Amino acid sequence: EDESTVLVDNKCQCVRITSRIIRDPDNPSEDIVERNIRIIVPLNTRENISDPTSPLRTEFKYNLANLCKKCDPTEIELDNQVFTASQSNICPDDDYSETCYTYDRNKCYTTLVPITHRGGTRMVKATLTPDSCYPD
Amino acid sequence: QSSLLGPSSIFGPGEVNVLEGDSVSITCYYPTTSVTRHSRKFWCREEESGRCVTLASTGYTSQEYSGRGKLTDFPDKGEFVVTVDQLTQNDSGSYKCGVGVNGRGLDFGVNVLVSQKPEPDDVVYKQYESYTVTITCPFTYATRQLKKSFYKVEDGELVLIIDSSSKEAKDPRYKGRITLQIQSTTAKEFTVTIKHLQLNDAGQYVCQSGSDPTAEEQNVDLRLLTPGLLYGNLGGSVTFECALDSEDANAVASLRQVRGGNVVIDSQGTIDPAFEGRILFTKAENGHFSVVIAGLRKEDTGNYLCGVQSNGQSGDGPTQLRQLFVNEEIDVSRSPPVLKGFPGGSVTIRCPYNPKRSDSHLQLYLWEGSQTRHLLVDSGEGLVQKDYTGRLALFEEPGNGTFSVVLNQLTAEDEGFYWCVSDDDESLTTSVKLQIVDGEPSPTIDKFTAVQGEPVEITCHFPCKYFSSEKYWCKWNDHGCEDLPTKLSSSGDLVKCNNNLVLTLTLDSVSEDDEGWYWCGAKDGHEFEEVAAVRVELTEPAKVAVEPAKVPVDPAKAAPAPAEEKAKARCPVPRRRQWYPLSRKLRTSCPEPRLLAEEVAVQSAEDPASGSRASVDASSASGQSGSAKVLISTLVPLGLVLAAGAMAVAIARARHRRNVDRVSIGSYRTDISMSDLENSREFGAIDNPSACPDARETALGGKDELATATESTVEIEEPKKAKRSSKEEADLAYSAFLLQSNTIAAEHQDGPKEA
Repeated sequence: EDESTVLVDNKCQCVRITSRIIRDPDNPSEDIVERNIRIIVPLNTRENISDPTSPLRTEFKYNLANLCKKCDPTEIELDNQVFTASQSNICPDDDYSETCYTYDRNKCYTTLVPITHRGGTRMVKATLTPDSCYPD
Repeated sequence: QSSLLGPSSIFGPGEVNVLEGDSVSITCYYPTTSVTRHSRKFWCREEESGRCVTLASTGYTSQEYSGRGKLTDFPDKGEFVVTVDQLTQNDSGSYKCGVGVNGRGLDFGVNVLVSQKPEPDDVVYKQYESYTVTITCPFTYATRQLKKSFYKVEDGELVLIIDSSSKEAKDPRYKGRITLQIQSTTAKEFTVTIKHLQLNDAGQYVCQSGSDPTAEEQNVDLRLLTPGLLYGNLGGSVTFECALDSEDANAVASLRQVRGGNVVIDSQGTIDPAFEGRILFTKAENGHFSVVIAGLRKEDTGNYLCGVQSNGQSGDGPTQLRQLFVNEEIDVSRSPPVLKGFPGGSVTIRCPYNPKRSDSHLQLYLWEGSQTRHLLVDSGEGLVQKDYTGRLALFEEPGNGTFSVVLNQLTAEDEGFYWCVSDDDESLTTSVKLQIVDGEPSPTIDKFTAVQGEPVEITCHFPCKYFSSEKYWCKWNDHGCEDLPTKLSSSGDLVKCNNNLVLTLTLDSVSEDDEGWYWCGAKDGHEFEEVAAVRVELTEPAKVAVEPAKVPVDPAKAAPAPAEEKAKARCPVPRRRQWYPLSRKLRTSCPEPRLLAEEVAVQSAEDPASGSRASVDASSASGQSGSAKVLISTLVPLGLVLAAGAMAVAIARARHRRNVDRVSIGSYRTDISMSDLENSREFGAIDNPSACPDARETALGGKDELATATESTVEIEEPKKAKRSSKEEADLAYSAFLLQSNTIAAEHQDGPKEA
């Protein structure tokens, strides 16, 4: 368990991929890489997680090639200077955002809800994840 | 299920052994991120069905715990405490303490064993889990020849564990880890040794010599100790407090890692190389000592033993077990663990800081061996070590809990470990290693001469990589470095970029007040880049001493380089910039000098503070400018070559590092579990279903700041509670509640379908 390396831990789609080197059960003289893929499918989630009125999601697509991209910038050192580099050359543009199937605990999700008060209706911002929305 | 969900950042005691009738208090630790501090905390008991039934949670206590159990949260400390009184043996079992909704993986398993109260004449043994205990059983001459047996008391009955008739345990639970020995034929006692102690080994035992009517018996009570727990964040620190009673003033105190058994640090100065520069030993008296480990790493997680051993004593002295957990979710370090600087150049150490009070300070220490560190500078008192005059200053970055420490005029002697200490929050102590490597420092300051009463111009040259950075001159003092904007503007704000960037400081009329250290440097946002320093000193009325602080500057290099090719060669890719695809990368190449000058002039006229945006602006401007097209055509091949070279190195490195992943894919195993994350009703969101079927016991907001939504009517009828918080928050809570009640209503309607 401790020996395994986390390759992907996608909190957005609830996918975690780890790998570890084990002895090949068929050929004890060789080591092989075992890759474990864990997917938790959040049923009852909405198509747009930020919109509780959107229909229930019925399709969950997992593109392993996309999940395995390492697009988050990493600092590397070249000739005693630190540079920020992406570990993949096929990273999408910054404005691209992956479809999320579940909430990120560290992000605050809000939506607008209509509130009728004294005959007038107005839209009010409401939080979907109250614990994540404190301003501190 | 926890293993399926990956590692948890919650930590607590794995095994707890208590006595019947006593109280227990169990502390669980969690990361102090905003969401976790405000989330519900729970304590639940695992049932055979796999459900974990909540016994206590934030603002809720179950019927079972009513009057005897509670959960108290300390969000500022990142821990919560579960206390249960009047324990009975029925309280033994598997529990979980956690954060959020039960069963989502943010929890820690706690096994509790409530053992029977011992009789007054029982002999009590205490030991940690997985350790070894040796129990001594006395007998007399009368039974010396007879069989020796060792029993466990279970439900009032004696269960034979081992006897002297065979070497093997009679009870399979103890197989391979128990031995019974009689030292010699004249011995008056036999010993039973149990290895790899488990929680369920705790309880009452009986040593017996001889058989029933005339047997000699001794009751033994074995209890499991809970190790002291330490919770730290990556890059942060923990303090081991060890209190071992030892009268011997010369005894050697040490901290060992259980895994590997190596000495981490001891009172004689031994340090494990893996902890060099980030550990400190402080000795008190009588076997009391403390050890600080800063700059925590993932691999520091594990068990440690505090020990005291008298000189010449064989075997082990008294020990205490500590369990350290390093949470990887939060990295408190602001600087890489190793910083590199050039001789004569500068480095910036960024330190985490938590100002809990207005009088809290940040301190920078130089580590000097296992028991000493020297205070260099303190944010409240200013510079402490006078030999750092003119070359060390602290700057607080607004709003993000960080201090920047700038140290310039580096020499080989500055190599070492620097500790940042936030005196209010000892968990934020970080350690940074400074290495001096070969290289040319920048910026550089030209030599100058000045006469008292007359103006002096001091020029500072920056290479083009600082084009987009804010450049400044400041006057150093004990508490920092005071910006000199007025002096700059009075001299016409001379920001030029010929082959490099020149920033000129003009002192209108040199007087004694102008004596001191002046810094010229660059800043990217709040991040300090390199700094050069120069001292202005009045020695005689007529002349001002000229003494560039830096390693002698080669005049050829300091003087403006004539050839444009040379200027280009001196323009590396800017530091800390994203690596863009090739086409984009060109933008960050060194702009044409003439153009630069214009741009800077425009920039400074419009908005002197927008330095960080200058590069983008300049590049877009160069795209429009006709003359720039020619330049780009010459720069394209150069940029390509640079980028290709750098990328090749990066790829080679990445390959080298990642080769494990590229070996081969032998086999796949895929776990797909279907989980109903939306439906939290099953697992603890309702802890009291009978009383209030559809109310969620979890508060919508923190119960301190916002009114809770335990019941819909409460929320509406008690708007007074909201007075404490701001109006916006009240709005937020109210609308959140409305939304939540909608969901509840919807779920209620769905109810029959689900059933």
